Amino acid sequence: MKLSQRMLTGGAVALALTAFAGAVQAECDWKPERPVTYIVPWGAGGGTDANSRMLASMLEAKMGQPFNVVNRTGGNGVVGHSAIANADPDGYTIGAVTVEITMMEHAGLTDLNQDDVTGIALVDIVPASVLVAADSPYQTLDELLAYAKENPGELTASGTSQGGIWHLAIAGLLNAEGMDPQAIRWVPSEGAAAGMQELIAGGVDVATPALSEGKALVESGELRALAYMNPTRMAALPDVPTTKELLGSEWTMAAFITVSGPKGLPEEITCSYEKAALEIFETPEWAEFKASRGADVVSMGSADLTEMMDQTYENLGATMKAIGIAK
Amino acid sequence: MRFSDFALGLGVAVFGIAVLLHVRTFPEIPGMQYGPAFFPGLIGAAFLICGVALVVGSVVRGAALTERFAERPAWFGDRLAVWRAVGVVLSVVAYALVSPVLGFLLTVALLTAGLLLLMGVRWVVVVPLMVLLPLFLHYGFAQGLRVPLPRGPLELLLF
Amino acid sequence: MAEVFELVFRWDVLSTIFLAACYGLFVGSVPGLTATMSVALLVPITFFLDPVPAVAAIATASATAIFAGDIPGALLRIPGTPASAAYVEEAFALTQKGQAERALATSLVSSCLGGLIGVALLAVFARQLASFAVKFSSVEYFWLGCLGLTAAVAVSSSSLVRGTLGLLIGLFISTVGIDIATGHARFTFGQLDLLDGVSFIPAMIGMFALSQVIRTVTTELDSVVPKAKVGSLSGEMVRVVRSYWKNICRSAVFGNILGALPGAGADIAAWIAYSLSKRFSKTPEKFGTGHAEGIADAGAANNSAVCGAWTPALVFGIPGDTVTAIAIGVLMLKGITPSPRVFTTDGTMVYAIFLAFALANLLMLPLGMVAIRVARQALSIPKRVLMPLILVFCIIGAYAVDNTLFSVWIMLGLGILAYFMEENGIPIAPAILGIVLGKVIEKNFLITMIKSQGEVAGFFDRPVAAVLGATTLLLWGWLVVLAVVRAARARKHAAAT
Repeated sequence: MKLSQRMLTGGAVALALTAFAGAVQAECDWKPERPVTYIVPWGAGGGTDANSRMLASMLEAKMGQPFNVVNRTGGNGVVGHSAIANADPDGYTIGAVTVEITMMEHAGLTDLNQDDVTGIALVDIVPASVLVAADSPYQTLDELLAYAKENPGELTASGTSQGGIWHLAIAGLLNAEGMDPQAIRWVPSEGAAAGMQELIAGGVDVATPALSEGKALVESGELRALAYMNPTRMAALPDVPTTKELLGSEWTMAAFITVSGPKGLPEEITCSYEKAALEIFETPEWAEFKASRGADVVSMGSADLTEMMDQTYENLGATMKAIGIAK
Repeated sequence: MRFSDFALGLGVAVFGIAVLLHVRTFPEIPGMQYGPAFFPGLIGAAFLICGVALVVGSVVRGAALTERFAERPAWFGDRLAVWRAVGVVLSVVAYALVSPVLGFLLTVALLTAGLLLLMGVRWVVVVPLMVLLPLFLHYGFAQGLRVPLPRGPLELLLF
Repeated sequence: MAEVFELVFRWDVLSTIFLAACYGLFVGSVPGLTATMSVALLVPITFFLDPVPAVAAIATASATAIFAGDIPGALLRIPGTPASAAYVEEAFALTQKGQAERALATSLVSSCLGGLIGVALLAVFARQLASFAVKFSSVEYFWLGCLGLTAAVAVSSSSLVRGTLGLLIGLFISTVGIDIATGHARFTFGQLDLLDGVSFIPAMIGMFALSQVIRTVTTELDSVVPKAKVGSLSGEMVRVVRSYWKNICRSAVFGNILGALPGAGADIAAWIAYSLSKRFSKTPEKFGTGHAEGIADAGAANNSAVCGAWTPALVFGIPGDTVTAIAIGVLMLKGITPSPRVFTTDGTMVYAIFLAFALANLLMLPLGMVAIRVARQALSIPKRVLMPLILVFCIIGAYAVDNTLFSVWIMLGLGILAYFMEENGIPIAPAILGIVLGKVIEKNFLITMIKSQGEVAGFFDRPVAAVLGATTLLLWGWLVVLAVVRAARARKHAAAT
């Protein structure tokens, strides 16, 4: 009895303190007092998972409580993103919201969009690529597009589900170049690895995953990268030309990974996590981790991230409409 | 509950038909006759065939209407056995409903104790198990394997 | 070579291997927790270890847990992986004859040898195996899935209609969730948690463990497992190796090749090995009645397939399952990029991993014997005490993998379904295989159709696909002929009497 009373008063004091802090000015020194659940909407071992596990472990060291990574996969990301959005905004559930949050509403999968989450910080940004098998007849993106233009529907591409981000990458590129978005037909796959396996096996002609995902196979000579859908070249693969150099439309496409909380996450908690994350991104450990994956360190806080997600929502919505996969 | 071939076949066939009707509402891939409905439709049809095979088999054997549609398992006569079966099912339901409120430790302690008593185990055995099992599992899963188990009053007190 | 030994024979690596082996054996052998779950939960924790201990831990735990899953399989009829469901009836039949030790000794020694042969093949032929494996496209996977299903029906001891019904139930469950071609949510009834389909681990726990608990508390609460003395474990193992070394070698090679196929191989290797074992056995009539031969074949294929799954992961960075997916992440974290050149660029590291793999399989022998003894003792705990504990394990085992209470509901629903299936003579093992393979088959069927724009010819226009397809179709034809002949013979027999 005594104990529960003490707990109650303790809770009340904490509550009053939070309210007080919120009213005056966010101090950004909130710390979790029990384990935090870190939801990843994609499978273990993928890029989102690896980035999130690394960040979670470094948050754990910084904030002194376990950050338990939980993979909630399924429904092209809908399941995991809903779990993040529907959690209590108390700072004890955060997660890896990815670019798909801006697409799923357009695709008619759910009502969920970026307004249902609170962006804390950008973790990674991964531009798409155009890959072909080593024995493919196409040496350049131009040759590939020229063939597709003359023989629409003959070539196939893969790398993610129907209407997934890498599908948008190629269909949007074709559309931006004034071609039929169906000129290269999309073959759905469960993720980038499965898509690249199809490519090596000769099941499809093109794959358009993130260049970072295809990097190992490009370096080993199994696959050939025709283009990088980014304004600047990748430091780890400097020979791969960018779409900005190659195409009149300067089409680019990238996926992103964030750390975010549910909608209505208190300012104090958001800015505490934001501060911690941005400090982590400065460390040599993080830089080393990023380098191992052939990626650059990005650093973007809550306000800019929210704006970027809104922007992406508009852009991808327009692309999805243009290529006919928006509902 | 053991059903006669006739009853089982009828049930399976009806299920097959229900699946076949339901998959007609699935969208198609433009320009292709194989879409999301194809595979479930195939399975529904196979259910239907299996069901019909069972029914026909029992009619041929002349057992269609002479056999009882459903045979109660013998343990239905044993009241304790029925309670034990109900207890097993209900404790799973109870965990799903109650653990978010009571937390892992309390729920598992209560379930363990309840089930053991239902099986007719003596208190001497029940008490240590209901204390040790939840703590052991909590230690292994929450601390060791880092599974976020549901938290309740006992967790707040202990951890 | 000396460097390789230096990397592995360090106290931290060796102790990690030892601990991982103990963990795999312990958690894998707890009924209701399942081997699949134990590996799934351990693997992410290794993410931040150094590469050699991390990968060694993953490899060790998966090898030992897969064997350990056979312990509750043989003793309580609760298998730990979809693969060990292939021979659970056989092992349990041995237990019922009082020969649990024989079943487990067979399983242990064939797992160990299968694993060792698997590592050896991996070390020598990884490059070739991987090149072969990545040449598989959706068509080949489609046929492979069909072959796996055929094996399930072929070994099923129940009637053709009931065996098929079991399979169909599994296949139907596999169609729940978003479909790959259009993204349409099928049979989800508005449940978000069903979008990804019925989660496999809770399904397996429900269908095998929960249904067994219900059956036990209603009818077998006071039964005891018969115990006949069959001689020492080690003596038994020597006998198994002497009689079945050919089976073990054959199935290990075969399992390794199948295991190298990302996504489907490891699950079906044991099934196909078991049905081949029956096909080529001199005493096929003994299968299903408690005969060690099938267990030796399937056990060897099973553990060898686990090694095989590492080939495409190491050589091309294409993971076969979650386990190897995380392993790739661990390697990349430490600057080792999987590639065909990995044997030259990071050769020491790769061979160190193989060595750790081999050690794990060797270590499994003594530890496994201890585990068998302990488990055998645990069986003398009255079922009144055991069943409630198993039920609690089932609940936490189902919950822990996805951390959602929905999985607990799935386990309950499928557990009750499986209870009724068994009551009505519909086998459960094919249903489990159906859940695993249904997705593989449908996905690859639709992908192939999308590629060929609806042309059926697309299923035969690649050489490997044509061979696999023809084999499958011939097998189906043969099964039908066999069923017809059997029915005719039965009728003649009935007419005669």
